[in-house]
Amino acid sequence: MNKDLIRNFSIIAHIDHGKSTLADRFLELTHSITGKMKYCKQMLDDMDLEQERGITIKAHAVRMEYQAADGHNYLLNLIDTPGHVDFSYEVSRSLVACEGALLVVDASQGIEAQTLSNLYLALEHDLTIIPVINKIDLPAANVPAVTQSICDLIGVDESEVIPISAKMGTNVEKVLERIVEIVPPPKGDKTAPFRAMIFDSVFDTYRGAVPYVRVVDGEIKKGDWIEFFSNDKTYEVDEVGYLRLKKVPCEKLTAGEVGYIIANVRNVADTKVGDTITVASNPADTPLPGFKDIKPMVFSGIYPADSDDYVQLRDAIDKLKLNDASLIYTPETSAALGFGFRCGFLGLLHMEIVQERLSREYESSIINTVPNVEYRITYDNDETKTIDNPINMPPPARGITIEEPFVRANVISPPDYIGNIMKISMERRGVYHTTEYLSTDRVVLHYDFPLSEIIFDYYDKLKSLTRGYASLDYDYLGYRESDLVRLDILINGDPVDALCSIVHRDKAQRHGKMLCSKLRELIPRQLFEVVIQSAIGNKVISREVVKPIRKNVTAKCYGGDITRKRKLLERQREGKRRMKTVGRVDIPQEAFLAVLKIDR
Amino acid sequence: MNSKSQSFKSAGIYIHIPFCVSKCHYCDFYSVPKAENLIAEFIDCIHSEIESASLRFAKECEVNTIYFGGGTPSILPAESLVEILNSVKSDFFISDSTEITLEANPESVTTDELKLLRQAGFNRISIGVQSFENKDLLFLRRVHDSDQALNAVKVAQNTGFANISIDLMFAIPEQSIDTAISNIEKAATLEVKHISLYGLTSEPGTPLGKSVEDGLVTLPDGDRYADFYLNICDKLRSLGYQKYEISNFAKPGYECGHNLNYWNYGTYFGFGPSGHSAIIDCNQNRLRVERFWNIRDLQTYIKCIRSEESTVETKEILNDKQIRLEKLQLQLRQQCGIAITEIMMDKTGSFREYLEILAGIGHVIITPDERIILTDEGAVVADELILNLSNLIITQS
Repeated sequence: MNKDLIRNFSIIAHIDHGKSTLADRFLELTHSITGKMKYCKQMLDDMDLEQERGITIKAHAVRMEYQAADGHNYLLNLIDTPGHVDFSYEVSRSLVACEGALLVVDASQGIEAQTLSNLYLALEHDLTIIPVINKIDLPAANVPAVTQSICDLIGVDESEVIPISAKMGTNVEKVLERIVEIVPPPKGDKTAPFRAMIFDSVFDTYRGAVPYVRVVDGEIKKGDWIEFFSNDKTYEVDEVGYLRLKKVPCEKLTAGEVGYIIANVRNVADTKVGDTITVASNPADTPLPGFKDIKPMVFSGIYPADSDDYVQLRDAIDKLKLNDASLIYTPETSAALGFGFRCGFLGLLHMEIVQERLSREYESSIINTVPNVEYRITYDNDETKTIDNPINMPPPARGITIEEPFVRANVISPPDYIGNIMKISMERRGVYHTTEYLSTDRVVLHYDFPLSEIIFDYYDKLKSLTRGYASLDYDYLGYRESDLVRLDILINGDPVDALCSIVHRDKAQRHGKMLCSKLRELIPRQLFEVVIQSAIGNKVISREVVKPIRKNVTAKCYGGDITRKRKLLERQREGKRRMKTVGRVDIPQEAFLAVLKIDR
Repeated sequence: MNSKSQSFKSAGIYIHIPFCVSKCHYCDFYSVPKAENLIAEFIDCIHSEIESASLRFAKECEVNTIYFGGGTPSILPAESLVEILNSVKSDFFISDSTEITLEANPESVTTDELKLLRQAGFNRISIGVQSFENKDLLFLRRVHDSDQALNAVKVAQNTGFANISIDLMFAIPEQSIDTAISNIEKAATLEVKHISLYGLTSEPGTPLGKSVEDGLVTLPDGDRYADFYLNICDKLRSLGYQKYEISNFAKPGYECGHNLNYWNYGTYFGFGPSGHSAIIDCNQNRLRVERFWNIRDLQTYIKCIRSEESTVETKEILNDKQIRLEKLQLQLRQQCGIAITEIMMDKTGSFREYLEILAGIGHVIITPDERIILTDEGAVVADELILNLSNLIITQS
């Protein structure tokens, strides 16, 4: 393939700004899909969950052939990017695989935080940006204002911004023409040793982990032996090909092309995003830059609701892991919840996705404990350890330093809501830096936050305080010292490991009090009095009592219909089996999420 | 019938008369409005059902109790009731001491009819008084008033019924504990021998259930319910009524044999739509429990009988686990309680420990001969106790 006729690009857009619809139009215009497939769904999002949530979770790619006005046949590779902050590393790898990016902005919404940070990523990697305003057909569209803010942001001329309606098909072809015209063809040396960067990987039950790659130098074909720079393993290539709506095998992939490599790699963990693949017979000296072994930021326990189902849950997690290299898990045991797993996630969305996939796969309910970040403890003697489960936090003592991860966050919103944003951010221990105006009606506020303060419901709160206008994005900064304490919950004197949490000392009092009162609502009255306490070390902060039940009796137990009564009891027994028992107290599953629900 | 086979067992017979003058809004028993043509057909069908059951079972049973329930049996003409009783008598073995109960509503009791019924062999009457207070009766949408209730008891006494039971209700919205107590005092003054006493409960699917769900009616909360019950139990005991089951109190010797048979794993046959039957056998200390029940619809019931099809809707044979659950449910509600050995294999484990905690908070008494007996406090939370105990039993086995 002539490199000069290849264009690799991606689309930067906020959720619902029309990325998938635009991609569909491209597929139609380039005849990459046949008539019957059209309109059945947005073609790029092929996972159920993605379609339901209207977001793209994992990057995919699609190759299109386009005959441009200049008469040449171009090969266009659209590399999709995940649309959420948890996956910013994956986004950066997808962008690096491209030479150009479409910046798609909703004509009625304007630029959002996610768009902005992905745009910065693209600029950082010297991508050619093509600004596009979508949804110009909407009555609420404000094309001049949005055009102006885009021009201010990236310093382009108004004439360079293409107004389109992906839904109606208006000006979509213009976009393709512009791609061909201004996105540079890929660089790279066809004759150099083979180097390709993995920007995604999927698991195929029959063929193992399949990396999706952008070839930078050289070429690869069936029968070659490949090596991964991050782990030195070698595999024989069974098939190479490109991606249309499914995999299409081809003879070889050469510099500048985008495609997949099947080499019977057993484990997705061996096909790490960002890693460089080379050929064993003529290996490259150096990997492509930018590889990072990404680490989970958020941790949570996952337990089977019914303790007997541990094995099924384990099988389901094992299976999920095959397709999700960023999911980390180790078995753990909780006194309250039995056998389960401590899982590490890239972020809160990633956690939600895993939980949802798991409950679908496993077809039974699971209990998720409250998510937490990883803390770092340093003792007097300079001994350091990290803690991913609050229960392992030592009691307050002299000579211990506790650090927690911080992030730099950008909050974008109309200026009217600055007051609300500042208020909630202060409550979340945010450290304010600056405010910038993107345009007259959009500001960006820069904050440093402890990650733990924003992984719960900060984003939801932010949305509701700004009528849905604000958007949020953050980058990892590093560990900083904080005055943190472990808040224990005791039920009838026994500490409940699964309800333990780590909070800032200033918030502990209020938090403990609210948690106790929430638990009092959720724990049903039982035969015995239930005392709920929150405590830091030996000091009890708050106490609530669930009074013993006074009445639960079938008044009338005559008539010969004994079966009905027995069946009722059988049903109740089933319900009770779903509860977890601490000491002699039955605790419903919802109680373990109470910590999440309380207003921080 | 006059010849008995070698191995016979005692049994109860229940006859479901599915007619009511009007449906009480809290009731979820099966009944339809009274309709003359249906009544005639129903009686005909009951005869057939009794006869065909007798061909299968009469040889091995001696019937110790017969119970006419409903619905409202007393809205049938006395002659019809007698006719049905006679067909039971002619098809099954009956003794002189067989307890024969008629359920009656106060408004449908007359001297002439009760006389006739008494002569025909009915020897026990259970009157659905519910309350002697008009305000309560109004809430319950009963057809009768307080005077009719008093009168019904007196008519029964005057026509020779020595064994009279009344149903009373408590925890009716706006009822005071004093009213509930005074209901009992009236019953005692009338010298009724047996009182069934139950708290008003909202059953799903009944009009009351819906009103409660919609927030139109609020029933007394658990604490108040318990106060009612504890006060009532004390009062009844002071008046000489023994509690023999959570909701049943009687002067010594006047316990309801028919209900005891249900609760103590006796065989029984239920005739009429929605009638429930159980056939219990014991071979080498192993119980075999078979339950079956009739279709809960009068028209279909009649159609089945007419076309000689089975009226049985469902049949089940219980496994050991189900038998143990039922025993726990049925026996723990009775004042004699349940022998620990009946439900537990291991006498030292967590079950024992749990029982002692329950005894400690005053819900149960463990007798020297190792029976578990509910206290009044325990009785109000019986379902919760049974549920908790059942979990320990079943997980231990």
